[in-house]
Amino acid sequence: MNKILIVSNLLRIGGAEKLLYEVVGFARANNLEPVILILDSYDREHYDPIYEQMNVKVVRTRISLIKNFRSPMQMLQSVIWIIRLRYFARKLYKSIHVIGLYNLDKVYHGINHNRRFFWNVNNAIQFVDRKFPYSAEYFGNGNDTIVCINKYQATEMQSQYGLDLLKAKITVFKLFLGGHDTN
Amino acid sequence: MIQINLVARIDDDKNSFLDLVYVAYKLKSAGITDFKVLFIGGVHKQSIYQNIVHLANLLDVESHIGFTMKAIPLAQLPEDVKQGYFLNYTVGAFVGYSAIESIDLGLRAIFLNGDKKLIGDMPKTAGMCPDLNSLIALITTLTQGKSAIDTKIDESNSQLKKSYFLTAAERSNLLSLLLPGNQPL
Repeated sequence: MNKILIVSNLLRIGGAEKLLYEVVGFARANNLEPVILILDSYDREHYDPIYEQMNVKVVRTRISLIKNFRSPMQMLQSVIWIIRLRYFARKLYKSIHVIGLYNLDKVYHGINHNRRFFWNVNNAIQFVDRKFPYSAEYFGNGNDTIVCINKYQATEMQSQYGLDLLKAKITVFKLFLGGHDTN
Repeated sequence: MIQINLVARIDDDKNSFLDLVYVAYKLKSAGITDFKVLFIGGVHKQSIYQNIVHLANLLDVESHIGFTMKAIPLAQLPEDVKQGYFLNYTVGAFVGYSAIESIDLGLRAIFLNGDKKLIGDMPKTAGMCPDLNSLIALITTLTQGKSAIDTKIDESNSQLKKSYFLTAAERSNLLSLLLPGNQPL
């Protein structure tokens, strides 16, 4: 089965988490196997039991700096995922989806794949001085795609970063319901 | 009693809570006291929560402001809360998931544009408020009689929900994002 990796930082009640849930449902309904990677958070949250019931794999680990692990097993898992994503991601997953640009600092250099999709779930108005707090470095790879969930985000990103820095492709895809249905 | 519910975690990236304290102040100043604002969500940034409480105290509207202090799934909210109006911030015409979830559960959603640059983009349908003055006007009207407006809001909510379902072309497009380079299944 075709696997895709969906990366985020939380599975609590929230809009980004709802988007993740709909993407997972759509993937499953289309015979894809989504794997969810939650970074730097080990709590059991709202969607954990839901994904358990759906038999969707959820992995919680860290792929950036390894420190202060109390459990050798957690550290081992982290090492395995660092290696997996840095060296084998292309073989293992058809595509990588990062929900929330705020997660890019943890994954941008850690996941090597030529089909990475960065879902932007915020608008500029949510930030100080209407500026996204993300480094332009994260948008400099022409193989990556930024998925905007509304038309304003595309304009905002182009305006802030400019075409010189914004090499990633930009596409707009609306928030949706019914991802879990097959028709 | 008109109850306005705002579902949002109190956090750095949600910067509009004070708007509703201001709305409460304006309503009270106009002699309207039969209303309550309830913030439904966890407190992820204590300083922002404290600012809300502080301003409510300064403006003497604290009795009109409430907090659940934790995230509560909409379906599990008390019935009296469910009877209220679920206020959702928009960015121009863009509406996030919380509104759709509330509509899905048969709750009544109203909308406030949070971006002054996009006031003109706000749909002209019932319950859509391009700015704070429009929201104050809507709540004022609701306190004078709900049923006719409620019907229009329900129709508007229903149309909005329909717009979230994927067309065949959109399904194909989404699949091409998940499985790039492959033919649609």
